[in-house]
Amino acid sequence: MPEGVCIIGVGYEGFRPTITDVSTRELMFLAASKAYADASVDPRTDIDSFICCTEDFWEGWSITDEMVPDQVGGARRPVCTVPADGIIGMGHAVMHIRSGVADVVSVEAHSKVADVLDKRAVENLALDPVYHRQTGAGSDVLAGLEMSAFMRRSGVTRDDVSRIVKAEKARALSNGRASYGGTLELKEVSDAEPIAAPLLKYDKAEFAEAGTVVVFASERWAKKNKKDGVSVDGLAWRSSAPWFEGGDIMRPEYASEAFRSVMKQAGRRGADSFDLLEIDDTYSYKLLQHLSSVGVPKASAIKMVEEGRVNPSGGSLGTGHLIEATGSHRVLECALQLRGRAGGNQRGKPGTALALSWRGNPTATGAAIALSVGR
Amino acid sequence: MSSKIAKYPGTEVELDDLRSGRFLSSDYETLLRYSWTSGVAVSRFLDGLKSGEIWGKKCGKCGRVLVPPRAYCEEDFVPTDEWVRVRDTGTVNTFSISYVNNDASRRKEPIVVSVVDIDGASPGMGILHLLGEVEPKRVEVGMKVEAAWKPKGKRRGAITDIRYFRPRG
Repeated sequence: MPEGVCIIGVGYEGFRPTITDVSTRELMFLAASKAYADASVDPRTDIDSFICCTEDFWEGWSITDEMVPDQVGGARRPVCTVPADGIIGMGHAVMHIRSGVADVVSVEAHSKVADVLDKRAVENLALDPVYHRQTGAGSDVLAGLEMSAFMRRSGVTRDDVSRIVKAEKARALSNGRASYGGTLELKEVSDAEPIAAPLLKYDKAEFAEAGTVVVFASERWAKKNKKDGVSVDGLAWRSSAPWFEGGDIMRPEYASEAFRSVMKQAGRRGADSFDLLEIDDTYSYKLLQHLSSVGVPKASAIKMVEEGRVNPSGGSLGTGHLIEATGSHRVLECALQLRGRAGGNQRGKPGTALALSWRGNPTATGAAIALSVGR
Repeated sequence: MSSKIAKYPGTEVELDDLRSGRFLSSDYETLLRYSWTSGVAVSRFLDGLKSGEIWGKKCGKCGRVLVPPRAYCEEDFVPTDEWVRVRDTGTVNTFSISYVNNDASRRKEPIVVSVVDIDGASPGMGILHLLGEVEPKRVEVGMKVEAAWKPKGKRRGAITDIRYFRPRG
């Protein structure tokens, strides 16, 4: 039986389109300070390992990991950077704990994306340099291609994805962490200007900035130190083949396989076994695609989004896309919900939650984590 | 090549071969642009430089004065809570006489790069900057130096508002 792992504290700062008053390091410090206060731990003595999820090109600073320790409390302590989505960084935290390397681990992820003046230039560097970059087709064009194929094969209509946008934007209005809430009519969404048709303006999550820190501990340590935690019942990540032109558009393997592994670890049967789900919606159609890949059919998926069982936070469409902190945001929302501290968008007293992330185009990498309280 | 191998088997490819199209390759150029938010601590520091002043921040817990200032003390993991104006003088902690630019090209005349421990800051708190108005061979660790500021109207809130540090007195 592997060592049980739980979340003992969360902290965040920002969640605005642009943060002008603090630097990246100060943002990280503020989020970390709140997380450590929430967990009642002293990072200088209680935390054994620090993980930061960041990507140098988004930072504009090579070997960013070398600049991380001070602001998360990790000076002269074990610190490492995972250049990937936050949930994958959390996977490393779970491994540190289960391998006996650490009892308590801090996982930081942030977005200071407004500091990047030409985001397209960074995104384009992720494209295949021989085949894709030369064509001038960027990540949104890839989304347009996938959306077109997905809609044709799944039967999802323009009206369906517009309903997703409308519901998430409305939900975000009650979330203090959301930057892009709004009341939109379906026609307004469907008639919006095209980005890469059929992908329209409101189908894409806009960027936002935030710092997030999640503190993990072994359940043994948490019990010994009398800390209530949110249990990590399963965590996995997968990468599909990195060829955009290949793969099953109806069943992105990174999502379905990560989900399948998490279900096995958690001893659960399906998406329906969770009280709430925070699922990647970098693009509107991706939410339906991801829900389909974890076994939720279209009709149920739209209903679950409109009722707020899926993405009660408003998702990335309502909150904003946080680059590598996007998955951490979903876990943050789940943890707050499970602890009854989600504020205006609290959904009763949920006992179980699932978060699923995607690293964005052109990647085929996703991660999932199952959480619960009161086991 | 090593002492045992004068030439590897195969065909050597020179840069000119690629440029001439003799071998196929893919080229790509990009321009990455950033504008970093300075934040609370660095903004005040840069603003101070514009006024010809050097500011640090003091940690209320360990008492260290951090220069350049930081919003938090990395040792105690608490916010730093007091601004302290330090002097624009200091001591050469270490130096290097550099004959290369940061693109690795050679310089005709060397520059002297130094870490200057600032008077009023805690030990180990220094500013990396150039030394000027001194022959490189006369620079030594422990040398007392002072900031040579740009004229007031030419300062823009950057570390280069200090042109260099020069021997004091």
